[in-house]
Amino acid sequence: MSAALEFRQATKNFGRHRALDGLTLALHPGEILGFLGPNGAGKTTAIHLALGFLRPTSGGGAILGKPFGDTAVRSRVGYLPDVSSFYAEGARSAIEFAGKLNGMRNPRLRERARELVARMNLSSAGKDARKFSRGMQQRLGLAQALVNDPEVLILDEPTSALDPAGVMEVRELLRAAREEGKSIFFSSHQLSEVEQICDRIAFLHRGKLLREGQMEQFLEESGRSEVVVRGPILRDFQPYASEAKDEVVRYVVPVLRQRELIEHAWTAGAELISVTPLRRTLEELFLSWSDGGSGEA
Amino acid sequence: MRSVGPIARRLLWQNRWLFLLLALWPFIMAAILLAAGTPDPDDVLWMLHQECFAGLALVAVTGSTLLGNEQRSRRIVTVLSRAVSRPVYLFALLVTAWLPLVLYASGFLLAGVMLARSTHQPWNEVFEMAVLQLLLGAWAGAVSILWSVLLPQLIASLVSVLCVALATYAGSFGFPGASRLFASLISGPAAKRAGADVWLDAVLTLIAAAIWFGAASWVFTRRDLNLAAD
Repeated sequence: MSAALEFRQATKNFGRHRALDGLTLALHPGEILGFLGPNGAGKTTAIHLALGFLRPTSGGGAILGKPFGDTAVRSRVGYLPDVSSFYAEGARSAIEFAGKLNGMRNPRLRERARELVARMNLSSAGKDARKFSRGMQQRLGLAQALVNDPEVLILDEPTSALDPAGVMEVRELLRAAREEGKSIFFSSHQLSEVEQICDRIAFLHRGKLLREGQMEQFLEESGRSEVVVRGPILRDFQPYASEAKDEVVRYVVPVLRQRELIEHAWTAGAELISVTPLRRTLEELFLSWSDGGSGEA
Repeated sequence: MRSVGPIARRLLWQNRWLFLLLALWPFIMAAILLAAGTPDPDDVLWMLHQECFAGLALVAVTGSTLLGNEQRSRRIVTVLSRAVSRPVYLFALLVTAWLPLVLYASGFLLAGVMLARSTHQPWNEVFEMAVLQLLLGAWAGAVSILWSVLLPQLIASLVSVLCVALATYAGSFGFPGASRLFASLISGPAAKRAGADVWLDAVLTLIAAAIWFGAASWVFTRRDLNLAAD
């Protein structure tokens, strides 16, 4: 099956600055791909290349089999920018405008706009979208991205301005979209969101793709175990002891020293309560990748 | 092309008060002239020429600033992330720059006829000037759109108005097409010209406008949007 969105050695220079360096990445049909990276990593540049706002210096890519910049294919794509901008009009009119630009016609368009106003809780938002709160603008931008029932959704920070209830609604909405077979390219700094809904992640650093793979794979690769023991603190493992209460000591040790610790505990007559491989959080991974780029932290 | 209407309507609505104010300009000038009694026909003609230049300058300035405004506000992203090609988008900007001229030319026509009647002059010349304004507005709009693609807003505005002035100057030497029409519109009565020349110049003006617009589309399709990137 061909990729819904694909970058092929995409490179973009702004003068002497290389914003994107040979990005090769694919979004598969029916998946949510978390696109991560620190500020200035080149995430928005990559998205702008995909939508044809920028032209690649070399390389390129395709959306739904059509090269970047193809006008017609954009009617099958939904895009939510990091900052949405609107004309002087109400929510429903703004949604209908986005639909019209994608070739939708009434009565289907009117019906769809009404449905989205209700679904995104925009009915009480006001008459001028430029004066909406940031959260309402983000909801409206998302409604605009969804109006044409797109096959590919490209979302740049879709939950950054939403309240917890809004975040949850968007999460459910994206999960439902995935169930319907839509492919979602999800750029975000809200790592807890990414962790909860993305199937795969790709990490960009200084324009280069540093890591890419299944979310589970990364989170399981912590390389540490939690060993809980009842008994005195083991002298050799004192640096790893994180808590001690009622003679119950919690050690966080590298996997390679786990066996040694357990043997020491038995030798010392301590009682082994539990051994748990530790999962990393996405936040830890993000920080380690951003810092050194090695991911070995 | 069906996207042109919805885009232009929104852009016009954004600047509605400015355009409406400018549409009143010919009436204000007419009121000033009529306030002092029956005006001198030469004064009326001079004022009508100035108003023609102002109308075309309105198109040139509007056309050269629209793209920059839309990029700065990032509303362009709302449009171009949908199934709208860049030439269609530019055409919507051209229509947005030209349509206020229709309003302005209508005001010009009404105020001009009023003045012509007060000085007992034939008003068909005023009508001809209004039509020429609309025709040359397409040329000025296309030129300004091209400069807006190539230059920053302020410089593009100045260069576009300069182009109108230069074309007028070239017309005084008999250059055909838009130049000759500009010269007759701004510095001499168009009615004195031979009918066949006017038609030829009109056709040449539209061809030139199409070439300017084609060049603007060609350049715009091949360049990056000016958006701040992360």
